[in-house]
Order: sequence, then C-alpha cells, then structure tokens
Amino acid sequence: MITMKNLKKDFDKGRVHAVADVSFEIADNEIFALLGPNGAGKTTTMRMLSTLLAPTAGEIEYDGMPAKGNEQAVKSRIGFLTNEIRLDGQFSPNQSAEYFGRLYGMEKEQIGKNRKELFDYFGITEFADRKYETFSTGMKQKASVAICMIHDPQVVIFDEPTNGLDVLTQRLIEDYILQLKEKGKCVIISTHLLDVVERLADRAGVIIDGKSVFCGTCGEMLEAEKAATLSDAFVSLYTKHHREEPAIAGKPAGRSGLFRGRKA
Amino acid sequence: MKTCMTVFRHELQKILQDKKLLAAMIVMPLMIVFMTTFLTRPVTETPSSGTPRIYALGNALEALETEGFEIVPAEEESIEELTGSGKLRDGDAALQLKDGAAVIYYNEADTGSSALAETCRQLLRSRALAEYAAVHGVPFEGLTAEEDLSPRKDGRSAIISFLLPYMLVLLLFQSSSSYAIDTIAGEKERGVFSTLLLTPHRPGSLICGKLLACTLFGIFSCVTYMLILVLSAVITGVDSYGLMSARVSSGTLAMLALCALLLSNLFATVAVMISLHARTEKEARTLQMPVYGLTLVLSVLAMFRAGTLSALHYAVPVYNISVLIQDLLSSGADAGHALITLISLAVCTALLFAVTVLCFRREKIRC
Repeated sequence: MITMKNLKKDFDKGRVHAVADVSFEIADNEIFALLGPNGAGKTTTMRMLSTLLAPTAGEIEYDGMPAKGNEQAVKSRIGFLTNEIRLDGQFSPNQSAEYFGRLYGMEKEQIGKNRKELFDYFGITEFADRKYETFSTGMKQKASVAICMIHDPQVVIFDEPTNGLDVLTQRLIEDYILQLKEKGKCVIISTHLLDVVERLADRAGVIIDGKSVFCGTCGEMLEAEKAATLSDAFVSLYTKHHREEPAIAGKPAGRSGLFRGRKA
Repeated sequence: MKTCMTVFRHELQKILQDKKLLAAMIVMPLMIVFMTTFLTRPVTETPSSGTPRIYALGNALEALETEGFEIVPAEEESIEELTGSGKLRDGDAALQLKDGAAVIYYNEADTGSSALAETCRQLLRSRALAEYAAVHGVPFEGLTAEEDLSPRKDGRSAIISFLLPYMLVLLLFQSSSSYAIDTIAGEKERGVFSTLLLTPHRPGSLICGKLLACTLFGIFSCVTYMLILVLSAVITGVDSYGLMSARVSSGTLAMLALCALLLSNLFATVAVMISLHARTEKEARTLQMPVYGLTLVLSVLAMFRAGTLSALHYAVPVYNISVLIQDLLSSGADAGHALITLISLAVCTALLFAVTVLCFRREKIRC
C-alpha cells in the first residue's frame, strides 16, 4: 500500500511549483493510472514516489513506512521506468542485468533465474549479448522493462510504458503489467493513452496543474463527469480545474507542455 | 565500499569495451611525442658528423688522431667556455686536467659520447696519460678521475623537469575530465544515470565508483604517454625530454606516481562535480572551460617561477604539484614542501567531493 498525502514539490527556491497538492492511496494487487495533461506534475510525482526527488511538503508512505529517511529501503522495493531512463547503449542486456542485479544485492543464481524468466518473456534471450544501442525502439523498451524488473520489485512505476511502440510490443507489455497485478504487485502507470487506462487500470488518479482532482475507477470518472467516454470525462475535468496561467517568465514552458512549472 | 567497487568494475569494463576511447588514449600521446620529436630535433641534436672528439681543455694534451676518435687541444679553460664556443657536439667529450685531478665531461644520453668517456677513463687508468702529462709539463699527478655530468646533460634534465609537469597536467586533465564528462553528464543526457540512482545506494558511493574509474583512466593515459615517450626515445634515438639522461631514484618515482594519482583524482573530482551540475555533455564541457584555462595558467606559471617559493605557494593546487614535480626531477625537492603539496591536494579533493555529495542531498543536482 502506497499513501501520498498532500504532496508538494517546488523548484528554484520556491519560484516554481511543479506539484501543488497531490494525495492518493494505491493498494497492492492494483493497477493505478496517473492521468494528466503534459506538465501537470505526473513525472515529478513519480520521481518523488521513487525517492529520486524529496517532496517539499507532504508525506509518502510505503506500507506505513515513511519514504523520507528510508530512501534505500524504498528504492530496493520499487522498479521505475520512464521514457527518460535508458540503459547504457554500450552494454548488452546480459551485462546490464548482471550489473543492476549486483547493485540490488542479488545473488548470481537469483540474477540468472530472474534474467532467464524476463528475457524469455520479452523475447530478448536471442539478443541478450548484443549491445543495447543496436536494438530497435521496441526491443530497447522490452530490454529496459526487463532490466528494471530484474530485482522483482513489489512496486512498479511505469511512465508511458507503451509510448511509440508497435501494437504487438504494446500488447506484450500490457499483458506483462496485468501479470504483475496477478502476482500481487502494486503497479502505477502514467499514460496519455486512455484506451490503455480502460484496459489495464483498476483505478485512475487525475492531476491537473499539480493538484490531484480525481481518484476512482474509470466508471466512477464517467459517472462523475456525466461523460460517454474517458476522453470526454478527462476534458471535462481539465476544463473544470485548470486555471489559465502563463508559463513562467524567462523560463521555457517545459519540455513537452505549457504548464510544466507554475509561477508561485 | 562494495557498491563503489561494483560501479568501478562496471566503469572499467566500459573503458575496455570502448575501442575508440582506447585508441584515443594511445593516439593522443603518439601525436604529442611525434610533434615534440619533430619540432625539437634541430634544437637538441647538434650534428655530430665526423670523427668523435675528446677536447683537451686548456690545450692540456697534444692533438692525436687515432682510430675511432681524436684528441683535440682546446684553448678554452673551462667546459662552460667550450660549450659556449659551439664546438662541442652531442657525440663528443671533454677532458680537463687541472690541479692534479681529471674531470671528464660527456653526454650520457649519447652513446658515442659515453664511449668516449670510457676511452678517457681507460687513458687515465693506463698511466700513459700521467706519463704523457709529466713529459709535457702538464700539472697532472694522480690517476684520480672525477666524472662529472656534463652541463649539456643538466640542460636535458632541465627540459624534462620544465616540460614534464606541464605535459602531465595537460594529459591528466584531458583524460580524467573527458571521461568524467562522458560517464556522468553524458549518461545524464542519455538517461542512463537515473537508472543508477534508482538503485538502493547512497549517491556518494555510486559517484565514488565513477570517480575512481575517472582517476584510473587519467593514470592509464599518463602511463601510456610515458611508455610511448620512453619507447620513442629508445627507437628513434631522439630524446626530446632528456628522459634517458634523467637519473630518477625509486623514491622519486614513487613520489611522482603519488603526485600523478592525487592530481588525477583532483581533476576527476572537479570534472565529476561539474558534470553532475550540468544537464548535458555540452553544458559540462562549457562549464569545464574556465577550469581548464585556470589549470593551464597555473601549470604555465609553475614553469616560469622566479626565486624561492614560500610554503604558501605549495598550498595552491595544480601550481604546487607542477612545482613539486619540477623539484623532484631536478633533485631539489624539499620534504616539507612535498608534504604541504600532497596534503593540500588531498584536502582540496576531499572538500570538493564532500560538496558534491552535499549538493546531491540538497537536490542542487537534478537528474
């Protein structure tokens, strides 16, 4: 069980609010989708969950254990994969699995067992000794997922896991996420693909302008917004909660969105 | 420590797998050695055509032409005058008979000159010279032969102690910082660094592993450079730096190795710190430029130091190590100064590392 209470994250000495107030509870054995427009604060929230960033205010708890002060313990039980996180192109998946397995304190036998299982599932056994940089986009993503799961984490955080992938690879990763749920893992995914959310997620949380504005099942979202599709419901939520604000003066509006970072 | 070593081993594997990096590590010193050999040849190599000569200073001996060498009486009374006259070639030697003692001047780096020195020794031992001197009324009584390193050799030693610190600073900076930028700023840009930071370890131990690899890479490059330098001097016979004539004791060598290690570690720490603050490789290289400029200025200033330096001078990183290397190579190193240098470097490196780790904790470094 992950609990996020009134999470807040400021950058540049408080001048930029990336996350203003986010609260969610995510249970084990659940797939939770994090939704929001570009720059809403999803990635920052996930980075806080993975302890890569410390919240300016608020709390994160993993089964009652506060993340603050227990960063190493938290990191050892999570698998985190974003579009921005990649493997070293110079190494093969085999070498990367060995390296990260050792860094996660795993025994050689355990690394071998997990590696075989994951590589077989994602169909990369044949290419396991080839350099990562020679792989296609889909193959890279499959290898990244496999390496990120090498230590069999209890909590899995995927940021847009199926972005830019072909239908077959997309389906393979989606099936894998469903399998993770069956194994009792807590899975958090962030995606803009609402059909993926409908297919996979048990519940969804919506973040708009750094604030959590909705948390519930897809059905509840449709009902609350009196919408026919998830897309309509999302637009309705956005219209209701978004405050029109300019991007911060002198700062880019964000890598991929208009509202990444809000003026204090 | 285990984490640090795991990262370090991984980095070593990366270096060994990167053929282009290894090639660059060999090509760069090769280019430097080639250019130095090419450019310094006219300066260091006096044409030594003709029969090798033993100059008898102060016309102490009569001219003698024999197989393999000739004795040439010289009017000059001292070796300084002879060197100044430009007569003395690299392959020659000089003999001074004065006040009942003999002094042989020769150029140890030159095999011809060394052979002539041996001939002089034999002449002195054979008593024939003593008898010859007696007949000709030269004040030469005994067979005590005092060998001296020729002033030209000192000149060569001066080249090595003058140039080597600069070359070492340059090489260590280039190699350790370029690797640090690639392995940290480059990995940040490629998204690899975050993967590492997600592992359950303190950033300090992860960075420490990378830092060790950067330091070692600097040392590798340095050793490669020195090996290529020595090999080139042996193969081509052109000893631009006077490496072959420099007499370096094992103690001095150990001190030089320690200096190189600390310097490489300092440069690696600076580069790691800069790389961690930069978002991209390009940004890291830009931030690195002022540091590079400062390093060059400090090492050049050390080359042209004037007068005796105070203990304070030995507390200025980079400058102090350049001066210390010069002192070590010219056998003028002071133990106190050496200690100040080593301590200041170690303290500076430790402080920089501590600041880097602190920046991580305070999220000044974003990945």
